[in-house]
Amino acid sequence: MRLREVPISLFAGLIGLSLVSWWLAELMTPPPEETKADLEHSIDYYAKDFIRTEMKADGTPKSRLFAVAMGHYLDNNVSEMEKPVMLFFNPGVPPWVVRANTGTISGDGNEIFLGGKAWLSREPFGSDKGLDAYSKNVTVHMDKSYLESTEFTEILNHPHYTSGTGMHTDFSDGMQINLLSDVRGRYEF
Amino acid sequence: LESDAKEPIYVDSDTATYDDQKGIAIYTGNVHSVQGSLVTDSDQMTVYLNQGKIDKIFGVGNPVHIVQTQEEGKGTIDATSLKAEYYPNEHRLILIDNAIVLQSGNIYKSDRIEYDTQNSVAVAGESTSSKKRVHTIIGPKSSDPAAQPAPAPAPATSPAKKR
Repeated sequence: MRLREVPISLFAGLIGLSLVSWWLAELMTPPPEETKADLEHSIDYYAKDFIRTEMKADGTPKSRLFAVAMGHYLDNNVSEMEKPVMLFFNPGVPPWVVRANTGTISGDGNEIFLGGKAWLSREPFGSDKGLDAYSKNVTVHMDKSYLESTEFTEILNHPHYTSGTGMHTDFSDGMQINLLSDVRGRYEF
Repeated sequence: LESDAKEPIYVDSDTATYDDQKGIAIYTGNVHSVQGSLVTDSDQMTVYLNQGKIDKIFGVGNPVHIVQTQEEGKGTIDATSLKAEYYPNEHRLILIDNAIVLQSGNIYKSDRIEYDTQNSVAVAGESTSSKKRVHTIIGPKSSDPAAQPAPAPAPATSPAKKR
């Protein structure tokens, strides 16, 4: 029987049969198993409006860490935060506040990385006009009471202005901001 | 220049520390500061702030080098010392230890020279202590009538008023 004489319905039947069997094959094959890494790099616990306060020996607060959301990851023991805000308390003056968009807390809780733009500020009090400082990618070393960045940093103690590259700020007793290179200052009258 | 006092002070340095609690800023390493025509070079400069205003600026150097343009046609004043205190609100600059001022061809040396940055008047020595002796070299009268020497510094009658 030559090809032309084979009825079209036979062809259609064959195509339909292959489609059905492909569909059944798809149906029966199990979904790919989640790899081990995917399973582990997942959040094992999380918190909304997360607050962590560190106290001094005399029972007064030393620092406070707040975040809109915090999620802890099993595999690297790191906690990731959304919109972290840190407060550093000092006697007699308003607290220093450090804000950033994202942040992480190391496993031992001692190292906090504030990613992207970081804004340090202290409210005015009495006749003092307050102070603002801007930097980027700031690492806070809680156990050693200092924070640092390698990026361009500006200090605005109104109406004066100082900037530099690289910053190391000691918050063990008050706040001492060290600018590490290329310092420019401007003092207004 | 008289207008210097109203100008902002610009500072460049290698590093700086701002101590929020004490309200001081310390600039260290190749410190170069400019206020109008008043230019200062030192190794370290400390700015004392009080309620946002500058109380005092203290410079240390080996030496501290200060240059300022005097009024029209009077050239510049060139001063060096190991320490310098500057009270911007009073336009008062005090040069301490090995202070040397070169003004209109005259040279004044003493361990303490007080200089009025607004009126370009230098007061050398201190009447209460003989240690602060003054050594003055008056430059020869130049033939050029335009270059008139500035008046010799008034002898210090009373100790510089401390703020």
